[in-house]
This record gives sequence, structure tokens and C-alpha cells, in this order.
Amino acid sequence: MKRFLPPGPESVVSIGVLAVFGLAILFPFTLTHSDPVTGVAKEHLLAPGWTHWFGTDQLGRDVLTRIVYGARETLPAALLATLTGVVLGAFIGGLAALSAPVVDAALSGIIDVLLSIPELLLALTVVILTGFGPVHAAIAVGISQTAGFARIIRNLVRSLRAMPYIEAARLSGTGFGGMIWWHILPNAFRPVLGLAVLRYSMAILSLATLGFLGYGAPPPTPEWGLMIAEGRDYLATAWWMTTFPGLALLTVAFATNRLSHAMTRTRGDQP
Amino acid sequence: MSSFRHVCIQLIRALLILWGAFTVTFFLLQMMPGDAVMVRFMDPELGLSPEQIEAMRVLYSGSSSPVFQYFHTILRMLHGDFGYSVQLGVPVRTLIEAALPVTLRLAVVGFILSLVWTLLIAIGASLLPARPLRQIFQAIPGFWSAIPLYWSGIFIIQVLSFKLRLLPVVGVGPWEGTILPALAVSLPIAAPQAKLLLQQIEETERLPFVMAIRTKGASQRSVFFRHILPNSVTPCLTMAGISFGELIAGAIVTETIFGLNGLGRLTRDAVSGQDVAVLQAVVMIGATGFVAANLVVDLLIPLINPSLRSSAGWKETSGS
Repeated sequence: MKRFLPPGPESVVSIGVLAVFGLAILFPFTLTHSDPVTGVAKEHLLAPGWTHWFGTDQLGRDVLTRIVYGARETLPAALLATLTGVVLGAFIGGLAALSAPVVDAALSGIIDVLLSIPELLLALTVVILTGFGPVHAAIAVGISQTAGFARIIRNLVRSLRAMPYIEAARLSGTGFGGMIWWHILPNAFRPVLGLAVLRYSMAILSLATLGFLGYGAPPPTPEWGLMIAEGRDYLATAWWMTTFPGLALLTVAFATNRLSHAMTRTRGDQP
Repeated sequence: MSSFRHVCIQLIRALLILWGAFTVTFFLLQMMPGDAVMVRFMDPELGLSPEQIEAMRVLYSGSSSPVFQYFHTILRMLHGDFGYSVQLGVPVRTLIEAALPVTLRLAVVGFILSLVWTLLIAIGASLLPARPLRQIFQAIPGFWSAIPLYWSGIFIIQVLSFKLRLLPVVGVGPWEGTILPALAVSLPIAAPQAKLLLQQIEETERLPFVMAIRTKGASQRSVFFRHILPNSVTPCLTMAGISFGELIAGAIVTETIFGLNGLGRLTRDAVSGQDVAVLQAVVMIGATGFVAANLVVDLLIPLINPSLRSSAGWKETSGS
């Protein structure tokens, strides 16, 4: 564990915050007792107080409950998005770095092209292609992240391949597959993990953006971006409806950001 | 001679990237299951027969082969003709001409604001007297990059406009109406720039010549402004070029919140209506903005930093 995460107050606090969100994903009923989808009609638009810490929305649903259940919507989907990005990016980037210069140039050109399309626009294009919905949105965000991963992984693998010890391993008879498995993968793993954690925090925000624009889960779902979009109609009277889901997003994204910062800070071998 | 060659190579590269972006989006959008004609005219209330719908499709896109359409569209776009919007029945060019100034204004003001933030954060993180204060400034980039753009926009409306009544959101001139959305969009754009600048400053601080100047008795402030900052700024310019493309995408969210009728609004409507011609045009504008900004930065960097005059090829830029 220490190999990946140097101990320190920053790591401890980030892990603690993320653990709370993890609890919300696995056992939401331990944190709240009300229902996230059906509300009590006569308790609508209540300000934050003792019974409803974060207030209630226009249908009398408890905002805290919806935020707790919302963790289940956004966070696993963001994981799917980042995994899609890492796997596709590692495939394209690794292929580019290990192939003949012609293939490398062609793939690098494709990566350059994909990087030139702003991420949100690329994600939107993929979303209208695959249809709206949480899983489609996650894959769209993952595809929009692929080019960034691919470029960094390509550069990383290329710099690793030029290292003297890789040369030595090759000369002492290690095959191509063995070189990748025993030398490139273990050394690329840590920097890529740090990058993936950073990209995860960005995937959370991108997914909530798609949710906010209405391309993610459909309305009764307690998705954070969607909750903020719904709260916009009550901006002047019920500030809590937009403020708290936004704070939840901010907290989890910032904790992930700091975690990635702690993971990448102490080492000098950043790609 | 070599610098002229460098300019030519960069120009050709920029054009190749634009062509690639066009190709990728063209075929992505061609793969779409339904199409805009279907979305708009399948409504039973319109009472159109399948034959009439087919005629509409021929009118808007021509039911020729995709490859023919691909070359046809490229030639049209080179002449500045972006086709017709199926949803609105007007030339895409008219729509873009109306929307582009709004978004450009937003992007330019937001971009300038983000540069101001970046500079202020760097100054605060390096020159403030107390260490805890400096550490707070160092944490700002990470914090800002975690703020959801639409949420900060809503927050800005709520606090600055509703509560403090500093600036109204509705019923104002184009420039006054740009200030608040530009403020919202500038924060997430400033975050990666500031992060990179802080990293660079840290690296420059460790260079021997900085130490030498310090030992000669120069004050912290003069060392920072005359030596550290100028030597740290170049990589951030590359980042700034990337951000400019993102600004246009960020407009999708900002314009929704602030009710502006720019490219972002156009994009949203095009996505809901599967309006391929509009989307294609918007993606090309986004990619052009990105490529142009990068080109300008690429050509500016050798002027600022002579040691980088050899063509460096791929530059390392790590997302955020």
C-alpha cells in the first residue's frame, strides 16, 4: 500500500472522505432512513432544519437522502468511464509506443485529432450516437478521455523503452511479451494509476455535467447533476436544492484530486 | 530559414488535424441510428406520409452514398457553406453568425480573467509573508478544478445578482451580460494553468542561477518578477492554448445557466434534435479554435524563449 500512497494527513483525510461516499454507495440505508424517490407532499420545499438537515425539494423528498443515494449513480459510472479511458488509452498508446515508427506516427496523428475536439463536445457526439442514459454517458465520457490517456501512456512507454535496463533485459534474452509483462507494466503502473485517479475526479464532474444537461439518467433518479438542474427552477426560494448536491460533487472531486496529488507528489518519475 | 520551415510544418500539421477532426465527426455522426429528418417530421400531428419524409431527407442530405456526401460536405465547408439545419430550416451559417459573437465574447473575457487568476495565484503562493497563506494559495488550483462549472455559475447568479444585486443577469447590454458568465467560466479554466505555473515556479526556484542572484542580495520580490516568473511562463502558454478550445465547450453549460444565445445553446438544441449539420459545424469551430490557439502559442514560444527554437515535436501536457 505504501508503494502507491505515501502516508500523510492529506491522504488520510481524502481516504476518509471517500470512505464515507463508499459507504453511501454500498449501504445507503445506514446513512438515511427516508426514500429517495417518493416524497411527503406536504413537506415540500422545507428549509434545512433538524428533521431535514439539507431541506426538502419541490416534491417533499429529503435532499440529504437523495444525495446519499446519488453517490450510487455518479461514482460507479465515473469508474466505468475512467476504466474505459484507461483501457482504450493504454491499448492505443502502448501500441503506438511499441510499434514501427509508421504505425506510431499514424496513431499519434489520430490522438492529436481526438485531442483537438473539446472533451465535452466529443462526449456529446458519442452520447447522441449511443442514446441517452447513465451507462451510455459513462462510456461517452470514457471515450472523450481516451486520447489524453493514450498520449501520456505512449510517451511513458517510449521513455521506459529507452531505459538502459530494458535494453539489458532485451539483450539478455527476454522476449517481447516478457519485456512488457515484467518490465514495462510494473514501471508504468504507478504513474498511470496516479493519472487515472486524477482523471476519475474529472470524470465525476463530466458525468454530472451530462446529467445536468439531461443526457444521463431520467428524472426521478437522484443524480447530482440532475438534482442541480431541477433545483435551478427554485433558485430564488430554495437555495439548498442546488447548493448541497453541488457541495457533494465538489467534496468528492476535491478529495479525489488531493488523493491523486498525494500519490504523484513524492516521486520524481512523473511521465 | 529554419524558422520559416517551422512555421510551414506547424501550419500543415494544423490543417491535417482539422481535416482529421472533420473526418472523425463526419463518420461518427453518419453512424447515428435515427436522423434529424426522422426526429422532426415523424410527429403524427404533421400528417406526413413516408414518401414525403423520404423526399425531405433527399432535400436535406441527399440519399447518396456516405463517401460522396463526405467529399461534397468538405467542398461545401471550404466555401463557407455549412448546410441547412433540419430542426430550424435555416442555413447553419446564419445560425452560427448570430451565435458566434456571443460565445467569442464570453471566451475572450473568460480567458483574460483566467490569466489574471493564474497570475494572482502564482504571486500569492510565492510572495505572501506567512507560510499557511502561501499553502492556501497553492491548494486553490486543485480546489477550483473540483468545482462543477454549472454549480459555480448558479452560485454566482444567486450571490452576486440576487443577494448583492451587483449586476443583473437579464435585460443588460452584451458586455455587462458577459461579465458574470465569464467569471464562472474563468475558474475551471484557470485551475490547470495555475497548477502548471506553480509546478514550473517550483522547478525554476531550484535552478542554480536563481540561487546565485539570491546570494547577491536581490529581494524576494525582484527575483520573482524579474527572473522566476519569466522563466516559468512558457509551458503555461501551451496549456493556455488548450484551454481556449475548452472554453468553447464550456459555453454549452454556461450559456444554459445564464440564458445566453450562443454556440453552446445552439449545440444543446442540435444534440436534442440530432441536427447533424449544426453539430458538425460546432465541432469544427471548437477544433479550429483549439488548433488556431495552439498554432499561435507554438509560434510565440520561440520568440519568448530562444532556447526552445529547435522544433520539439510532441510536447508533454498532462490533462490537468
